[in-house]
Amino acid sequence: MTLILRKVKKPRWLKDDDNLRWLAKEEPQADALRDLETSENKLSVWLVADDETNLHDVVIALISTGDLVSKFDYVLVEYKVLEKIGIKIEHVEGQTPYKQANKWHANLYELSAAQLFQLAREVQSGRTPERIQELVAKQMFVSAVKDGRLKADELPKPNLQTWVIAEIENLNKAPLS
Amino acid sequence: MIATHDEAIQNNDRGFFLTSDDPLTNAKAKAGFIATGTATTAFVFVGPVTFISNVYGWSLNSTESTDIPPELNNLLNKILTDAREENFEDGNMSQLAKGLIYLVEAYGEVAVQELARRIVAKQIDAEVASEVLQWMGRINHQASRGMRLWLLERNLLSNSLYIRDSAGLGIASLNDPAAIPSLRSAIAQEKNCALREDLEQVLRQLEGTRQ
Repeated sequence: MTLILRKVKKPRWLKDDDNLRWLAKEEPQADALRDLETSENKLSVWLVADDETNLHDVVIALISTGDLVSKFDYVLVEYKVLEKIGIKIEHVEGQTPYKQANKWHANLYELSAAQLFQLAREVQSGRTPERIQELVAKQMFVSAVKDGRLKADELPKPNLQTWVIAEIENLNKAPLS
Repeated sequence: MIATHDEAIQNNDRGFFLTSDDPLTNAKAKAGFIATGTATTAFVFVGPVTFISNVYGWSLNSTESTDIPPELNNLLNKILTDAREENFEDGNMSQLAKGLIYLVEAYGEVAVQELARRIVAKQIDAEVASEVLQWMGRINHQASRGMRLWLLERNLLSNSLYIRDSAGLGIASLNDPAAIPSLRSAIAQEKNCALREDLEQVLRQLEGTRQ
């Protein structure tokens, strides 16, 4: 496992814009730090395999805790970046209904403000943030429930539960002959 | 033809407009959006709010509210003020979203028109406007669909990257192939590579829907 995934808002990490001409090339926007909000000096992240084979599972796990399926923006950071900054990481089982993915959750811990800012700079200078469009995210999520990998009745938010059940019922309807 | 008083969106006696047969065109004109590129629609406003027209497009240069119901104005003020304190997270239903759903269901196009005016006048900060636009694509309200699509298309050309991105997301949610020409035009003008790629994905989605 060598990639660290953090859910973000993609526009906060995009810089090629007329409104951001004032920003130095290597600097992240201040707003980007909102995507790295810590609690008790910990930052929740997910571990993704080099070949990204578990990426969709991690995305489904993160979607499964929400009210609805929307687009999914994320950044991937190389594990070695954490070593470079001296950031500690610990495996902590995720708390999502998608149990098979929870093992890939981790916390960055004992984070200082300087480390967090350095991490933001590394994210900024690293890979371009990625996006899974809403329609694709919906297809992924519905498939996970339809295949039985994720149980609809274990979804914590009623809106999402109702929506996914309706989607599957629609899929199961026999085509009119 | 000349619109009736009621059709003139409670303009009282301060204005009138000539309507076309296109309901969306009329709706835009009602909101004070002036279309000077068409022969059938014109708008004359003699009140305190001044609108400036653009040839071949809609203009929305007012910084003051049009005549909207006071309760709608108050509700919008409250919802948008509260929204400044919210942290919008993808996949979660914000208080703003709940408020917008209520407003659109209760006031229809008038609510969308007023939101459009405030976004264009930059009376709503970019992050809140961004959330508004994304929800304009998600709300299930047929009567305001045309106006919401127009609002999203118009914001594809905003000078804020945040707003342009959200307009694209709203269009993706609305999933209406009618947006294809606007989307193509926005992609041609988009300078940010990452955003251009995202808009291209939305375009492919809409083209797939059309087929």
